[in-house]
Amino acid sequence: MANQIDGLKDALVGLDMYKVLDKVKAGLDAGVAPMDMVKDLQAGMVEIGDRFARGEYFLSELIMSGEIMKKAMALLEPKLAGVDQEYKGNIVIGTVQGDIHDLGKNIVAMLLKGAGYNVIDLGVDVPAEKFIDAVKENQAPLLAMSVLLTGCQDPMRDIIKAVRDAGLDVKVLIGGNYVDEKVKEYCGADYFGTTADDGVKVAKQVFGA
Amino acid sequence: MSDKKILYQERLNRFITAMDVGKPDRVPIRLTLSEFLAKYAGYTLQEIYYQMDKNIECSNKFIQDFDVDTVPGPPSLWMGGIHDATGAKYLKFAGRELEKDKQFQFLESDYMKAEDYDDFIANPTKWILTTLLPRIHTEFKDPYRAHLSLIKGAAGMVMNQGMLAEAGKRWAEEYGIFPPFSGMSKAPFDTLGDVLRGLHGIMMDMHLCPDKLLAALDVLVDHNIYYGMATAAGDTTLPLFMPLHRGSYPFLNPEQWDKFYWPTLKKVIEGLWKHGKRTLFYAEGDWTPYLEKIAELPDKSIVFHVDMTDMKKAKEILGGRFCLSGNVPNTLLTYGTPEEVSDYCKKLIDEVACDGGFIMDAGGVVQWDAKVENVRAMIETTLEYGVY
Amino acid sequence: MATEDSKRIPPGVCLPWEEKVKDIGEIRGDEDIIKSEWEKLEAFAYVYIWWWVQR
Ligand code: B12
Repeated sequence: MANQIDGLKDALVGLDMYKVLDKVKAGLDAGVAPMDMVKDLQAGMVEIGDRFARGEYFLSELIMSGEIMKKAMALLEPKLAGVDQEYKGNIVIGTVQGDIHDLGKNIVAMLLKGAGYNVIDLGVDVPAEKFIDAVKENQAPLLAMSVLLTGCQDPMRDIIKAVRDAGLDVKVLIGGNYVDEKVKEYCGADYFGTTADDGVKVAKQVFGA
Repeated sequence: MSDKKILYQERLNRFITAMDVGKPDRVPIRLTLSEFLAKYAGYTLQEIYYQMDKNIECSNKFIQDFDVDTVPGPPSLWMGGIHDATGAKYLKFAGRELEKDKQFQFLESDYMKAEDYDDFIANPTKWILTTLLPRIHTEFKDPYRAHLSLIKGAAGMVMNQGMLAEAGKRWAEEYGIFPPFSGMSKAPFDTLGDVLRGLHGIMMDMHLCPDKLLAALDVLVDHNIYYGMATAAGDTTLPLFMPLHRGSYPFLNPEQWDKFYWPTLKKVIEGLWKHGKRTLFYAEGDWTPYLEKIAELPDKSIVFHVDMTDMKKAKEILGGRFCLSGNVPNTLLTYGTPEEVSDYCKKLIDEVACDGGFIMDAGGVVQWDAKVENVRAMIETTLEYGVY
Repeated sequence: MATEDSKRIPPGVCLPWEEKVKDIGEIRGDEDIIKSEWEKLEAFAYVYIWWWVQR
């Protein structure tokens, strides 16, 4: 039965949308466990992330694969009800208050999901309370924040301070184009990242998986 | 000649000489300041987004206090009133749905659908007016309000432009200074990718409907040249502002860049150059991998602005044929000390500006986070150390 | 494609003079005067319309 979905991962890595969707449909028709297909697709996303890290893939490939993934998951999700997904852990992510640049954050979230984490995406323009509530509610060990505008780095520092003041046991990762060691120090974050795959690297450290 | 006229000529010569890749008396200073100016002049963001007089006043205040070669700002291009008159669904403004000192927000989406390509290609002007504008604005819900919104929008535009033209005269006469550019236009790929199809839309189009995308890009070439010349009111002394977005690394893979981004952008720049109009190639982000391609442009036809591009490589590949500008890191202006900023500027002057053809500026647009003393350090260092 | 291209309305124009002039019918004075004023407003309308997408 597994041969229905042979090549599913490669089709995703090759960005062949029609092939991916055909295979998923064929798999479902033939009674392949939806979770197996999700795992194949996730393996594909990991491969795509690696290719991006090696400079073989660009944002266009990441975005295209994200769109294909979305379409495939739309077919699979209804069949996944009741099946417990196994996650490596919970990660809360969002773009900080005042900033609405979300393309980078979305890609980071997508790769984290692909790598098997449960990602709670709070969207853009996210205030401190919302981050704090989400971390509490999900007992997330990792909080990832994206900031593109240098003008929003100071508010991000306040958010991180509020998170610490709330006494949460959470590591904070920040990222964005103008983020560096200096910004990390200034804002009091634990880690910083400047490319999408940095997110996965840090998550591996934090979760040990 | 009045003192101000002499000052104006001096600054203009300095600026033009640098753009022509020559050595003026010293390195010219152009600062791309946005919300920074509002904070400096003591206005809220709501005031500058909505009130053109205060928006302009921000620039006045800065040029009274600092010796720079071109007028920075005005900080806001947004004209909130016009967007209320039309009911823009895609913008959130300070003082409306946001607190009065918050950065405006643009909600990106695929406002143009893949199905719209044919109509767009056939007659883009008509498509924008009859399909896009009603789709993205709330005031088009009945003919009365729709007509009103068009009257008010156009009138608002004329009024604001009139105020800017007045300000331009005052800047020249009272302060002996001019804006850093005249007119604006875009790369065809950005016209489609920014406001129309959105990033996701256009990325999908490259895979799913490349021919339509290419046809639409082709149609845009003449429009973008015309738009640039029209918004410059024919001026060819100052460069045209062209903020470049989706062509930076690592948005597109090299084949996509060569196929979708570059050919039509090149045509627009060359077309403008045929009119004698130089382009300020405001390369946001990192453009290092594309420098060789950019070097194909006619000598002096652009000023290449460096944000995160590798300055050394830019100098190596483009230097001597094109003026370079920028590269003082925005984070340095925020977190650095005046000494660090000064050192960075000196390094730029020694290593890049040494042969001429360089204009001092920050890498990206300067927001309210930059420290005034760091901006001052940038200016003072250039005034003193930048003398040839 | 070529015929389609040649039909295409050039930039700066929303409603071409050639179409408008048909509506006017006979012009008893100087057509150029009427045409040039028409075209000025055309150019303004054009820039206004495109302003919404060129930013
Ligand atoms: C696209 C864009 C926009 C779009 C955003 C659309 C959207 N939905 O996101 C629009 C047009 C709406 C926009 C608006 C504005 N923008 Co803008 N924008 C850009 C641009 C061109 C690209 C950003 C981008 O999406 N890059 C692609 C993504 C994938 O890359 P990325 O965001 O850097 O993310 C990568 C890494 O940084 C990292 N990363 C990002 N987040 C995270 C998080 C974690 C946890 C990790 C590990 C990693 C990580 O991984 C990502 C993938 O590799 C940049 C210039 C540039 N090239 O960087 C300017 C830029 C960011 N914008 C800028 C400005 C000023 C603005 C505006 C204020 C308008 C203006 N005056 O020009 C408004 C602000 C609106 C607001 N309130 O936020 C300035 C900021 C300057 C500064 N001092 O900070 C920039 C730098 C342009 C410039 N050079 O001046 N913008």
